[in-house]
Amino acid sequence: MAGHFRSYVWDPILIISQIILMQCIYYSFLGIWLAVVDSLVQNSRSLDQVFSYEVLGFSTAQGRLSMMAFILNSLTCALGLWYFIRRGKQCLDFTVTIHIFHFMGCWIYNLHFPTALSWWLVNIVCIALMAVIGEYLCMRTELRAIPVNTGPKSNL
Amino acid sequence: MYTLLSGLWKYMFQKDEYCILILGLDNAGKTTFLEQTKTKFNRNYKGMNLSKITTTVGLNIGTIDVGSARLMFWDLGGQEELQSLWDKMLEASSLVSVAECYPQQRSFHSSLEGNTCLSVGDIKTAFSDCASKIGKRDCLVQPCSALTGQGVNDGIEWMVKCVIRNIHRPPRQKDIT
Repeated sequence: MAGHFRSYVWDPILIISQIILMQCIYYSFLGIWLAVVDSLVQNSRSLDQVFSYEVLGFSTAQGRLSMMAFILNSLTCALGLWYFIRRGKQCLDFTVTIHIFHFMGCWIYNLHFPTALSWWLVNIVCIALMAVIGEYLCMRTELRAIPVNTGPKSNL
Repeated sequence: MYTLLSGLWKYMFQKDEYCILILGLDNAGKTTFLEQTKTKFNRNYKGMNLSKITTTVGLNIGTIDVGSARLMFWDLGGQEELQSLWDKMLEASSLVSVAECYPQQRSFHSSLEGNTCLSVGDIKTAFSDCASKIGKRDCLVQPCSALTGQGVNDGIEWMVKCVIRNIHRPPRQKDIT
């Protein structure tokens, strides 16, 4: 059936490139936020803040800074979802994919399965925030009225 | 990732879809035939009681999976007023024409005593004047009973084989390419 509003053709190249793009956005903005947050308190930057399980927690000041950076990052990534993906249906899908790759990265970095509850909590909150905000923004755009030319059709 | 994997799954496992028209005069048994086919080929389908089937207003659509193909049946109403719909349906791969063999019988419970049943030869004679229009297309006269289900399996299996090998009417365009 020709003339669909949106193409239903499965495009693996598009999806794979979107996954790579979102992952790059996630890590670049995480880096930027960590740099901003660290410079506010004159902390030294290290890869531990991104990948390590023990750092992310409520107890230490450094942990709280990392948490804040992660939360702010999920907001910017939601904007990235809105700008690049533009489909509310796929927001949750991409969010979970990003976090799966982050989880694998953390596992490789720490060499063991994460057992710290605070790490899981922060990531679940990030997934929820990113998916909901991204979907809200995409829905708002998708549900806008389509302008139809309602001018007079005949000249009487 | 989910869209990627589910798209891959559908791409690998989707079947060709063919549209089949069921035509015939009113009360010939088209809807009953459709229900019987659905009951036979769909495992979990609990069909409605065949004696409760009433005249079709508009059309019924039923889908079955047979072998490597998916058949979509369009059962159009046979009432004279609805026959103007028939020429709108031009896209089918195949046609099932249902003819009533007991033309005097108007209720399902009347006795089957008389020898008024049409035989296969009678039907072929009736169709002989449109043999030129049928041309090279595959054609089969299949005696069957929509109420008991006899003969339905053979008919459908023959049709699937013919519809798959017919290159002039390819299957519907797939969703995923």
